[in-house]
Amino acid sequence: MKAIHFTKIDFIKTKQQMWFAPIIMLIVTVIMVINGSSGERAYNAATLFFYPVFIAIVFSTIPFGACRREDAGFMLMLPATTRDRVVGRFLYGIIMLLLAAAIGEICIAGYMVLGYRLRPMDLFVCLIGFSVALLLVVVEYVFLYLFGENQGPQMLSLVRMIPGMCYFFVGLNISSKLMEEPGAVADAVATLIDHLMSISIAGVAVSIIVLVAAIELCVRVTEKKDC
Amino acid sequence: MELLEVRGVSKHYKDFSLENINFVLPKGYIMGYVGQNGAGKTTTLNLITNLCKCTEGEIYVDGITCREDEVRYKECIGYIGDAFYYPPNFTVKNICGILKNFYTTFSVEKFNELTHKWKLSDKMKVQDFSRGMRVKLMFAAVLSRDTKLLVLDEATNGLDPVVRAEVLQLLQDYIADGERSVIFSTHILSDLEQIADYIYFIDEGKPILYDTKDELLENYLLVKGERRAVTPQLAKELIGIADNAYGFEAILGSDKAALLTREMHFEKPTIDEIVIHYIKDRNEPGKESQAI
Repeated sequence: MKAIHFTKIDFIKTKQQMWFAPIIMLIVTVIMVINGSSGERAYNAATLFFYPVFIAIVFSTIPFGACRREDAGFMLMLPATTRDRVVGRFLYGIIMLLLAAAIGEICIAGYMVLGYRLRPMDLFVCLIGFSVALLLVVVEYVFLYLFGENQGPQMLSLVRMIPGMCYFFVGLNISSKLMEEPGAVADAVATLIDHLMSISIAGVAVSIIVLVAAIELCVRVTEKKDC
Repeated sequence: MELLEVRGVSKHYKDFSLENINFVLPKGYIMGYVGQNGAGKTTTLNLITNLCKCTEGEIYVDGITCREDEVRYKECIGYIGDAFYYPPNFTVKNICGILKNFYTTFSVEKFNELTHKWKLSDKMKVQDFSRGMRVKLMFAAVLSRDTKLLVLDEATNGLDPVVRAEVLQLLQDYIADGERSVIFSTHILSDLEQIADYIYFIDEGKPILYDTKDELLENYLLVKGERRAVTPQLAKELIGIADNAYGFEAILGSDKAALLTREMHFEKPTIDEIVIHYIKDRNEPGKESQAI
């Protein structure tokens, strides 16, 4: 229960930077809507989903940069366990992703109102996209816990940007291929399409298992760490 | 009944070691933890607050170790450091909300009363507070809950004399019920003279002196006189001989007073003088005061 209070602390600490996230998301959404929901220039639904999630991946590491050595007297003295602190930090990342996914879904709904026709593949891509995003956030967090929460700004920028960029461009590329050229990949994905839901759920389940293992690892690493 | 017990505690870093620290602090008393910069004061206090972990030894607060019950252990301790530890973009309101969530004994009414009394604005970001206001905010946070042990690491540094006097009064009020204790490190030894009951003095990670303040002041004499009057036997017993324009000045155990000659003058030393002469003694080549 105390973990959620640490999440709140992270949100208060990162309040200033957090203003950027919805602004960027809003601008991109407006651009997409201006470009139209149908015709040649139309974006597919995955773009609407991937962009806010990409922003969330980038912004989810902000609390690590917001940790000052002096804060230790406050954060580490709070009557809670290391597990509470680590779980609280992971919750921050998960909540960021869920918020971004919700914004993505709202954008898709808006897009549909403008005439976009949703396909089963859209849901598949979004669920797999969310699972991959969760895995990337977990990897970022594990890296930061293993190699120090108080990394320099350059290292933090790299950890923040590389997974997010890979996610956005690689993810978008693959999803576009799946959407735009279903024939070319039809054979490969035929079996997948038959089991869309179970594969999507399996993807989310794998992410959750990895998440739990990562939290356990980070708790152990943090418990062994000393100031 | 002991509130704080530090038993055989050591901490080893690459370039510094804190060795075999042992002391007890009974309920209702204040201990001054003194030493030069880099002597190991902050390390010891960090070990007590569990901000870092002991290489050897155990620390008990109100009978429990942090390993036994981390949450209860931390609930017992109030910590005020030299550096202001609240994130700079927090407001007093944010801090109050967080403390309420974490500490079962935290009283919002008491906190508001203290922040109001000390004119700490609710909405102002703490980064805009002066040093005095920051120390008061840390005190408000600690005094608004039921702690047993107050750990102060150079908390009075940089405070003006008025605020410092207020803080010292707060510490005395804090222990007034005889159930709570304070351990505090400081460079301002005159503060210790005023309020400390026990003194623990460390140098280069090793314990040098540990006694009640009164015993310490009773057990030593500040000796002054001409250097030529110092007999070889007396020279062996003098601690931290400092030459000056009028002769010399040093510390001597009261039980060695018989060694003094008529030409010498002696008086009761201050804690400051005892510490300074001990440090001087340890810095003399080939002569290292024994660790306790």
